[in-house]
Amino acid sequence: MTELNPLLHSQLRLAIMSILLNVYEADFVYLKEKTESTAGNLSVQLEKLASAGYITKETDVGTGKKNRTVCRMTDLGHSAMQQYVEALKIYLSGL
Amino acid sequence: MTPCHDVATNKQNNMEEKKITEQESLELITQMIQKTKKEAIDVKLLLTLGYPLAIGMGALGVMYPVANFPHLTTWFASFNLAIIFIVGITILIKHAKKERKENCTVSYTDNVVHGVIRAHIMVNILLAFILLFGTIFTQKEEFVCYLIMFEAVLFSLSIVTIHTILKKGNTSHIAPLATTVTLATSFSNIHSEMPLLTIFCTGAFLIMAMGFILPIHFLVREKNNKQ
Repeated sequence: MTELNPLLHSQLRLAIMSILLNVYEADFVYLKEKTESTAGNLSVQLEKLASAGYITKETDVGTGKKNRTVCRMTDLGHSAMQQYVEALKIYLSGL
Repeated sequence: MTPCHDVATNKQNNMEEKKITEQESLELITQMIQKTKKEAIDVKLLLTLGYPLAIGMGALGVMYPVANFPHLTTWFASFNLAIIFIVGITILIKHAKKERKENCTVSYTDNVVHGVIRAHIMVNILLAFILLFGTIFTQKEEFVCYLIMFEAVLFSLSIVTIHTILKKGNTSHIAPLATTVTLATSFSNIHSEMPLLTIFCTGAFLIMAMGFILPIHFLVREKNNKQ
């Protein structure tokens, strides 16, 4: 049976990927609000997803008082999510 | 069933995430997709460009045969450029600022529609420059007529594109229908006794009113009804 991608099979990372699946881009504050997570935890999970190549992170510097981090899902992220949902369907149909 | 993998790739990280079941995963994906903000495109802003241009085109059509005003077409071309340049750039800046606001997301639809609006404004600024310099240097009535009509058709085309992207089908036929009928009527009246500029400016005004302004109002109303 197809295994669930361990990188995606976690609450916060899956929440982040689900949001980014639905939008072109979302900033750090938006993700934090929608996932109801702490800044530290979110930051760590975003870094993991970025190092796996599932998302890209861009930081706007100097546009305001604070820097703004914008996240986007990559093509690799899209196909990983697609495979994850397919695997999930197989798991659930076996129940 | 194969047990879920241990998701922790870094065991030393204390902030590691909660394990979830397959059912919870599916619920989480659904919940997050529902929570995500839908498109927030502000097509209403385009009305600030549509109204003055339509009024300007209509006024030129009405004034041309009755008013004995020298260089009327040059004045119109300058007005046209000023409006498109000032209002167009303001719309582009407003969109860019909105995208850069904190706690913000840009949906795929927003991104494409903003692209269409950006391209439309840039092309129209270029067209307005051509209209102004062409009017000054050629002083030909036909040049002004065809370019004004072309500009109005471009406006109508942009709203047809936005309609197609947003997939709001109830009123999507209005803009192409109004544009086609007006174009056909204007070109069939070329050989009538009416001045060419009046025919084409009235046509452009009608295209702007029915092929651009009216569909935007319908789009806004549909969006409000949906909410």
